[in-house]
Amino acid sequence: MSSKVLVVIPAYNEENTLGEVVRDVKEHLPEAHILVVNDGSTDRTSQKARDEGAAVIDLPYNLGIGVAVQTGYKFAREMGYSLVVQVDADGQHPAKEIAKLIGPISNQQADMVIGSRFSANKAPHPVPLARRLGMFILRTFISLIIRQRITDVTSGFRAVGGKTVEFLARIYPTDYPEPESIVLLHRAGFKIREVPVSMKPRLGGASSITPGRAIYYMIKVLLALMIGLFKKKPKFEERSEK
Amino acid sequence: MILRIQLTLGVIGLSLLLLVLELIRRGKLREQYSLLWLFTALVMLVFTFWPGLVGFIAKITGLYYLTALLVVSFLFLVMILLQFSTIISCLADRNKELAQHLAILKWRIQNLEAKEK
Repeated sequence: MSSKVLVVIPAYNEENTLGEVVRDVKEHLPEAHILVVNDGSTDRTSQKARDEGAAVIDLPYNLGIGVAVQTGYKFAREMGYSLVVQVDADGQHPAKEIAKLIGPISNQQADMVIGSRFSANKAPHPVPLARRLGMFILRTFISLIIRQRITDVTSGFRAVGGKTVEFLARIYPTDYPEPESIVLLHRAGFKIREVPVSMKPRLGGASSITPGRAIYYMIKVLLALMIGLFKKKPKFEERSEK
Repeated sequence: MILRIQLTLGVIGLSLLLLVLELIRRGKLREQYSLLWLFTALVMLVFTFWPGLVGFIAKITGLYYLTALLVVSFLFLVMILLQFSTIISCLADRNKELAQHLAILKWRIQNLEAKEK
């Protein structure tokens, strides 16, 4: 099954790493189209992406990663892409691993595939203790809710299939999109799959989660998830756009 | 007397809690704004079940004569603020949708113009 593949790279002030990420994707997926969603960067992110030949959508101001990623899904829906891959702009996600994410979607085994840096038995690159503890509690909580083992709930390295693209183009969490979207998709009846991938240490830029804030982050995500659970179950009905 | 105050406060706190929860459930209140409201309702319920706390606060602040008028106007303010929160939630969602559409349309226009040349 050959389908149009769109690689979405949300980017906020990533001029130093973005070029290499785009080149990497081009090299490993020459067929795929690349869309960089520039989330109101104040540096030359947008120009760098254009120079590499990627399609660039410039959001008028910084709206957060969730909104940037959803812009990619909306674009995919409008332009008829049946498969969307999300890749971070900081160079953590090697393009050679994208094939592993696409596999289960093209043969209809899953609606969303998450690339996990933990489910492989290889030793992952070192992660600070506080952050590891926070991640452990989060993934235990989420795995219990969706009754399925997910090891890397904050991974932004994912692939999503056709009808899931439609769904996420309409509803996508804005506060903590990676963990929240897992629960959201599960509640809407989509199938989630996790595959082990290798990740590289980021090429540049700082993690949005510094060690000191890891526990605070975890508490906020847990609260957001619980509030999310309380919301009406999201229903996916095929509706034509207004 | 204290029982009646407790009852009143309990009803108000519980109604506020249910109202906020319903607004969240319907998606009318963003998570961002809902936490503070949930917290407010919970504090009211804490006062209901632990009336001694009021006495303690009155003691340390010296505010004994909280009149009915103040309570009523406070309640109105609470309702107005909650309404503001839902309106802001709605505006923020619309703003997000607009920004996304605008950015996609801009790309499509540029794409068309590039093709025409």
